[in-house]
Amino acid sequence: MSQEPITIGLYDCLKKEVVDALLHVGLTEEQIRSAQSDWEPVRKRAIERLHREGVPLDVLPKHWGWDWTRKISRLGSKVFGFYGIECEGKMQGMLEAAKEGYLAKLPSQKGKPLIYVRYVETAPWNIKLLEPNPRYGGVGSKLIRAAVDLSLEEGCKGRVGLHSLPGDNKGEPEWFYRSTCKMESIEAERDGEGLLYFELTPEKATEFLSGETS
Amino acid sequence: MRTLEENRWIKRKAEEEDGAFVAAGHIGFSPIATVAATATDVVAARVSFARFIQLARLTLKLSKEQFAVKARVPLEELICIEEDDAYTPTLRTVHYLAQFLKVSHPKLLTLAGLARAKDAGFNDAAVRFAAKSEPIRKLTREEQDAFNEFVKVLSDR
Amino acid sequence: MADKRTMTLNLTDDEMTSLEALSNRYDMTKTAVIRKALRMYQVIDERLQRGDKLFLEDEIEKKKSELLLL
Repeated sequence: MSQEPITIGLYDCLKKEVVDALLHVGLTEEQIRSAQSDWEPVRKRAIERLHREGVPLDVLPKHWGWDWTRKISRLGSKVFGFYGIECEGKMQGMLEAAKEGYLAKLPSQKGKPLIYVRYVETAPWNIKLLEPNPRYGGVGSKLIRAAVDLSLEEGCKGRVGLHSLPGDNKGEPEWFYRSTCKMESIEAERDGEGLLYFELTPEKATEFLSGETS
Repeated sequence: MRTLEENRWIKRKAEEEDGAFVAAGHIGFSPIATVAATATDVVAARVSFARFIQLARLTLKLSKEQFAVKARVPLEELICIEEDDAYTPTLRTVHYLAQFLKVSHPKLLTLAGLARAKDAGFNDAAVRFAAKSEPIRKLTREEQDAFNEFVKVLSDR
Repeated sequence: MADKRTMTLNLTDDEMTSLEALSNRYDMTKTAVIRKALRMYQVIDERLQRGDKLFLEDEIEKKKSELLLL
């Protein structure tokens, strides 16, 4: 189920200015297939190149085989929300969120409902690790912001949870959620693949939305 | 229409983000990583299993509903196998799939992540198969060849 | 955000007490609690209409019991 796309801003790294982009609330099968066919070859080539250049295995991005088309069956579900950011006719990032079934784990929020980000990915050409001159900036932040807005709309007061792909050096996923998104991690809630769990409190959600740096 | 405040926000966040690798979800399959894989074998095989079942169904030109009926597996579970990265199939379903597709039951169990591979060659075959099978609507010639080759590996009891 | 419509809801004292308890426990408005409950009911109803059954599982005892909805 999708609504009319919303005009938002993205930072164009080439033009060095904020440009118009579209935030899609709800995605179609066509949009997902198109994004997958745009992203997958670029992502795979970039990771394979890094591997050939000698980047250690444990540092290589772990989303080599991600396939968004495997989520198509959930598009019509009332429980899951899909978001995509489009610019210049291509998806620049996508996010799948669960509105039900997840409760907060941070002690101060324990047991309260939150929005759980099941998957989020920015297009490979926007990632410095894969492309030295990223095309658009702020895509990840904007997607997390969409999850926060959904949380507010659902009465969850901005609470968001997710399991991050590994990497806590600057520019890697765990660093992004901690530094840019103001999320807190909980070691004891790592999932079956060892991925670290992060959660955003209502107070930190307000800070994130205001854009204040601390 | 964008506000000044929104523009300021995105510029600030783009600067902070600085091209960061943003991703959350399941690791799934990374064939490059399986070069040194041990415990990741189970996770790595799961995507090969999903692709194999999907390609088998498409080779037989069956819809999910038709395939589920013929293989005597729950439709819900077939959907999860093909579309949910994190889903582990039941023993019963893998047994019926192996019967229907006439492949080795122990090898299909390994591919489904329900048993450990007895030899490294099997994992290598799974890696090669998954690397050659892109997300699909209909099979390309290369995918058909890769699928046929992998069926031989699975059928070798 | 989708357009919203307003309705008035009449509840018994017990029902209101339950709603307030859920609202306090989950730190949500009463409206948010009702919207969540409605969504869960829709999801469960769709599955029941397909012939599925709803079970609750005791994680420790590994026992399943069926939840009946009339």
